[in-house]
Amino acid sequence: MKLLKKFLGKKEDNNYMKDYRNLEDTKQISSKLDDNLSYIQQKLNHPSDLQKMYLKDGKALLVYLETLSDQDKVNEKVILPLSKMDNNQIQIKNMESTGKQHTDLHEGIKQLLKGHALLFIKGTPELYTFNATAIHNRSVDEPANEKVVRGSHEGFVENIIININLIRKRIESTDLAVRYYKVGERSNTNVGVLFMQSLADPEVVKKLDERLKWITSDTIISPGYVEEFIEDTPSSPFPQMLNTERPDGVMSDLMEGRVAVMVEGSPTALILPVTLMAFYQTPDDYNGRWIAGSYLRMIRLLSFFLAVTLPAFYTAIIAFHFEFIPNDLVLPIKASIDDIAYPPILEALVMVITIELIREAGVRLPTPVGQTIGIVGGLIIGDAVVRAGLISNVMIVIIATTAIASFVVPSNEMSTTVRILIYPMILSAALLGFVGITFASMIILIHLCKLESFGTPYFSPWAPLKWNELKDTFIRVPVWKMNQRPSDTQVEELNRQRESRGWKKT
Amino acid sequence: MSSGNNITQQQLFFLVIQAQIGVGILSLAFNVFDTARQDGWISMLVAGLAIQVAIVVIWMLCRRFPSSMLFDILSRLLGKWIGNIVNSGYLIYFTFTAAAVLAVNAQVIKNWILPATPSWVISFLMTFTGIYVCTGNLRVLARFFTVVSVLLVVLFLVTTYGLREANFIHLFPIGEAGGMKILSGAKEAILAILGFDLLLVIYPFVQGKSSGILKKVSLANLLVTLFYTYTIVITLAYFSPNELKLVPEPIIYMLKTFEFPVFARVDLVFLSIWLVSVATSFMIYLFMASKGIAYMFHRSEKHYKFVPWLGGMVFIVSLIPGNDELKVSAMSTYASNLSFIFTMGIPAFLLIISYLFRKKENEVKADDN
Repeated sequence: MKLLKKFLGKKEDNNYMKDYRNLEDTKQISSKLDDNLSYIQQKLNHPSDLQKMYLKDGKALLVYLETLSDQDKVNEKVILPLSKMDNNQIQIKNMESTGKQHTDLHEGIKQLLKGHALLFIKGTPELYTFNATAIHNRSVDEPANEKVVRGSHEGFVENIIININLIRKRIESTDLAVRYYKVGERSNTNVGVLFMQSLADPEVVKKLDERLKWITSDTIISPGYVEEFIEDTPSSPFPQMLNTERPDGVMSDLMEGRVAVMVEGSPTALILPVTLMAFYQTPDDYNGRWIAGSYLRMIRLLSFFLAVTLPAFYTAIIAFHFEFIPNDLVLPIKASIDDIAYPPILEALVMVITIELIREAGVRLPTPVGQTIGIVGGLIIGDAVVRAGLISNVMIVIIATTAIASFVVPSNEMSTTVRILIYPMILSAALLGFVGITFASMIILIHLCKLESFGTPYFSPWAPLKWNELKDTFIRVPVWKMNQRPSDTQVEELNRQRESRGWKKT
Repeated sequence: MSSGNNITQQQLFFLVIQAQIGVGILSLAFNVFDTARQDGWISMLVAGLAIQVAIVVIWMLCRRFPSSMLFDILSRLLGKWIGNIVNSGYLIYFTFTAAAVLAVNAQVIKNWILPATPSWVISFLMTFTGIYVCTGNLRVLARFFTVVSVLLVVLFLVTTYGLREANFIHLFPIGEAGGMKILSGAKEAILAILGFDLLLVIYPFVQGKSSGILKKVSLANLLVTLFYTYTIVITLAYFSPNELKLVPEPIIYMLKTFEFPVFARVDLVFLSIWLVSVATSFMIYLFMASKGIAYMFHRSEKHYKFVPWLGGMVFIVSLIPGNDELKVSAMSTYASNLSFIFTMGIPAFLLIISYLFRKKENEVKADDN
């Protein structure tokens, strides 16, 4: 192995961050303005967007990045106050918005990269930084992939400050803990960790802290990066963290003792630890009344079973257990599949893949074209393929139902998982019929029982079985019945309310 | 919650239920009818009672050693050498039973669902599933067993459908077979509900008071006995005595005649679910064997390292009888005869020794009451 590595020319990799780590040490500020300026220019590789301005007859030097800083703020905070002063005595302390004083030039450069303006005074070995960061944000619109009928229509944006603001506005409590981490050794991305101090399991917080500190990647582009670095079982098809863009969702998860991770530059929050059930709950279940909520919940869980088993079930029946079909149905089904040249497994696979093609094409194209793809793909191909005698009618019905069922899942990640699981199910059904389905389902179930996310059993509350927590799974009992939080997170304080409908008894 | 392997008493309850319900249920009614005639259901109740006694014996033994597994108890009571020999005996018993379960299961699947598929394919899949679950810890097993217990409700409902055409005149006259016949029928019935011996191995991993453990295991045994008695009563009432002689797997023959508007073949549903129950029995024996072998190699904490090897061995042993039905049934008879020794004989013997020589674990743990 060592030889091979040598052969491939793998070098000691301690040097690779040499060129940007050099801001770590300190650098004295020169009392000559031009020296400082040329040092900054050299450090930043002579950027074209670096603005420099000599003020007060060359006694002061103002430096900022015009692409990061707001011109108006610079004018208002630095240039105007300075212009009111006497040329001979520049008193930073007298200014309305005092700048921060630094003696380390490298620290100044770091601030410069955040959009601050630097002010050097001739003859003094110090600089002043003024916050003039420009803020460009889109509005807090409803996320397109997590729409609700009723309830809050706010969604996260790409700015972590605004996102945490949205949470803080909802939870006015001293209990809400916010921790920042700098992740990404080259990009220095801000990662925020939010949790309720008195609810979240300290063990989970500790694990998360440890795993975040382990990340040595130089860039963090999205929460997806963080997720892959910190998840427990990368080989599992099931997502072990919930992605959401909804502040109200994050709030309710925080209140169940879970932890939210947010990444600067992305509107997605990661929730952990989660259970399978979390992917089937939506804010809508709780925004409406409990009967409607329960009904929707049941439909959604039914969709899970349909999406995973229906095509496999049908394939098994056609290929192995034709006697399973009741007498009255035998003739119509036989008529439909009689002239088909291919075995059911091929039929099923071809149709499943066609639907995936249509879906993927629809996602990447602009909306009007996407709709056209849907019509061309869905209606025309579906109709023509039956007329051409390639695929049977019943198979189209089965696969279309499956596709719709797989899109019912509120979470996009889980929806993909469900669609991936279809393949092993169909294959095992085509190989061994019902026996194959039983074995495949057993292995999926065992996998779910084995899976843990930050120490939380993934398949809770079914396995381990907790009777009194089943009330928020198949059905959603009235809010005033849910006196306790789910215990899967090892939440510190289980009770969440006393008797909220006590007035009925008085 | 931190101590990796512990399970709750509720999980123990489901473990015992799933371990007890297994291969036997299919031919149970046929076997007891063979000796006890229409009083087969009484045999079943008697068998349940006998098992209950055996459970109490095992529980009394384990209670004296609340933090040791069977293998540990053996070497404490019998000394290192004899202990190791008996340990190996248990290992062989667990492995052989697992292999017998595999062989019978493959035979049934071949006869009833997949006649053209080579039976080793089924055994291989079963072994693979068993290895996959057993490489986890006891908690994974317990979770899985608990989840699949829902399926037993389906088995119960499907069987209940037989009541529609049941003719209870077939059960009379009650007690005609006579005491001896009923007792020897009970011996057949005991074979179908073995599996409670898992208590020997997993007792130290169960949380809570020992009296609670006895309650949960007894309740599980009671439920399984009642469920089996129920299926026997229904099949006895459904078939006439002359028919019953001809159908070795009466419950499937019965279900095969039913037709629901949505699906026509109930027996396929029944067998698919039954397959899960068989798998759980197989898994628990594989698990116990892996615990035992890990103990003998002084690696008790890393039983999962032995699981793949053990699984491979069980798979090979299960292939020995081949496709010969007689050999398969001979294999399961051997396994059952072994089980009398290992689940009732030896534990009773150990219990007597431990009382005679006043050997018990130091009451450091003191969870007894």
